[in-house]
Amino acid sequence: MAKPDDDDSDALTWAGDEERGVASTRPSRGARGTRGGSAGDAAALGADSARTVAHATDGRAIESLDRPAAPPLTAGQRILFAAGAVLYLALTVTWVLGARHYGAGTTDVLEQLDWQFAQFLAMVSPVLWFVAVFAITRVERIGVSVAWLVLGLVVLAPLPFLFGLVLTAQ
Amino acid sequence: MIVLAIVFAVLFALPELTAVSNLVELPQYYDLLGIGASTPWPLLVLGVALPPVLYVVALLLARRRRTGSRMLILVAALAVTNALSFSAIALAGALQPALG
Repeated sequence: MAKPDDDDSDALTWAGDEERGVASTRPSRGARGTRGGSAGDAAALGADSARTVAHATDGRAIESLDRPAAPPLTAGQRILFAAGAVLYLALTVTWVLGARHYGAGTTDVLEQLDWQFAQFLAMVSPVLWFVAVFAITRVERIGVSVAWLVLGLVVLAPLPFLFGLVLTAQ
Repeated sequence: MIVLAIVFAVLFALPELTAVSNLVELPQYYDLLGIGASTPWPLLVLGVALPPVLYVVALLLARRRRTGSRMLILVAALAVTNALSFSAIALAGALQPALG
């Protein structure tokens, strides 16, 4: 019967890894720190394992391990993106309220599906714009982020919602 | 990048087909209603022009970026294309309230 430790090992490896020469992500017993070796040893062993895995399969480094982390946001960026998040969230709500009033005007199932897909994308467009601006321009100067966020507010002005209000008021 | 470009070309073709269909059918519908002179030609033409323009702009912005960023840019551009289509419909309805 297999020991509990063997079960752990099985859960963390694929059958045949040993034959293919792929190293396990599991740190060695000494790396557990509390039972064997010092904490420093454990960290060193863990780091060694990670490096081994990164280069093990075919010699290429795994991109996510080698990519430098994005620098932390400045105070100005934090304020900008927090304000942007609130504005764009409000914009999303207006798009959801505005776009849902427009029907496909057809009974054809495919056309209805196409319409609903378009409607969904329109509703979430402010969220997608904000996420794209945040993810891509956060490493740029703050002016670049401001410009893209302002452009988004203009391009995604919630006309269906605004004209819906005007027509309702008439 | 090629696969992503092809997949998004198909996705951008959906609003393009709708816009072309509107360009062909809406003027006839306006004529039937007796308001042919009020056909919103600028909006109809803009609707046809926007999907390819936004697709090309998104591809240019996505160049030399990681796959995740490329995908994000193309998805956002697709969403904006569809949002602008709805804006055009809303604007057409506001210009001609009889259709609303």
